[in-house]
Amino acid sequence: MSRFKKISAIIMIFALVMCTGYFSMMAPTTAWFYQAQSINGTNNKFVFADFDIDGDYSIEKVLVFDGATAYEDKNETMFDSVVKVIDVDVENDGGLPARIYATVKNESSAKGLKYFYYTDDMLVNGSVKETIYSALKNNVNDKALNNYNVGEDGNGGHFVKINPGEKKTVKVALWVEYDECESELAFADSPWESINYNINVTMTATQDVDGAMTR
Amino acid sequence: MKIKPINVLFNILAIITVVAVGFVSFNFFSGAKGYAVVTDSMVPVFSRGDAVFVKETDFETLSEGDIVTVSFQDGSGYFTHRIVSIDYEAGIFRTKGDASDSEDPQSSMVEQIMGKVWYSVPLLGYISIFISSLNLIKISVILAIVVIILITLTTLIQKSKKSGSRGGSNEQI
Repeated sequence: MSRFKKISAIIMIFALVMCTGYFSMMAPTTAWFYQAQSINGTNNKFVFADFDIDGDYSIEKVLVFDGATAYEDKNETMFDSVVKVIDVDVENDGGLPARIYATVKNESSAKGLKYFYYTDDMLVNGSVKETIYSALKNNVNDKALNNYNVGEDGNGGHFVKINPGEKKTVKVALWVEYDECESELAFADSPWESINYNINVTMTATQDVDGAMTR
Repeated sequence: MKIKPINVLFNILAIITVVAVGFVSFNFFSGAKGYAVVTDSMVPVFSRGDAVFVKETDFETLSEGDIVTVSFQDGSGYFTHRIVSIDYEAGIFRTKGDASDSEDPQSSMVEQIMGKVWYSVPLLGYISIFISSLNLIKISVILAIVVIILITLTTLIQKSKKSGSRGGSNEQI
C-alpha cells in the first residue's frame, strides 16, 4: 500500500467518524401522544411496543366484599388482610421509556369503592396501608387519593415508569369505605353479608417525555 | 491482472466516504436539519429508524397536509406530524400522526415549528437510535470487538504478504 493511500485511508476514516457523529447527533422525533388499552382479562398482562397497541381487550372483574371488616375492624388494623389486589404484569416491548397510568371504573351502583395503584418498590414495611399513607403524605382523604390516582384535572396523577425491555408488576389495591356504600354492606345485620362490585381496570401507556396526553 | 483485496477495501472506503461527506455537506449548506424517527406514528410515510430532514419555513407558506417537525411546549423534545388544520391569524395549528386515529391532543403554536419536512432517508435514523442506546458496557464490548477485528485483519494481511514473498523466491529457484 503506497504512502498516499495510507494517508488517504486515515483521512477517510476520520471523515467517516465525523459523519457518523453528525448522524448520531440527530434529535429523536415523532410521537404517539395517546394510547389506551384495557388489561387483558385472561392473564392480566399488558404488553406494548412503541405505543403501537393492537387489539381491543376489555374485562369486567367482579370483586366481592363482605361486611366483616365493617363490624370487626373499626380502626382498619386488618386493612392489609382484606384489601383486594389485582396484579397486572406490564412489559415495555418498545424502544422508548413509558409511563403507565391506571384507572379503575366502578360499573356497579354500589358506592364507596376506592383504589390505589403501586409497585412493590413503593411498599413501606410491606404494608399497603402504610404505603397509601406515605404516598398521600399522611393526608388520607378522597381528594388526596383522587389527586394521586388521576390528578386534579383527571389527566395526570401517579404513573409507573417502565424503561424499554423492562417488566413490572403494577398492583391495584381496592377496598370499600363501608360508610359510603349505602348498601347492605353498611347496614347488614350479619357481617357475612357481601356485595359485588363490577369494575373495569384500564391501563394507559404513554411516552414518558411528551407531557401532552389525555386519558 | 490480479486484484488486491486491500485495493478493493480502499475503493469501497473511498466511495462510502465520498457519499457520506457529500450527503452531510449537502444538508449543512442547504440548511436542512436531521431528526431520527423513533416511533411509528407516521407510518406509512416514514417509520421508526428513518431520518427526516427539515428546513425552516415561513408559517404563512405552510398549509394543511404539510408534515412539520414541532417542538414540545416544554421544549423536552420534538414530534413530526401532519398539519390537519391551521389558523394563520392566531398562529396556531393542529397536527395528527398518519397512523393515529385521532388528532394530537393539543394545538401547537407558530413558535414551536422547527421546520417543514423536506425529505426522509430510510434506516439512517438507526445510527442515532443505536448510539443513544449505548451504555459504557456496550461501548466497551464494541470497541473490544473492533480492536480484535483490526488485529486479526492486520495479522492476516502480514501473513499473506510473507507467504507471497516466499512463493516468489521458490519460483526463482
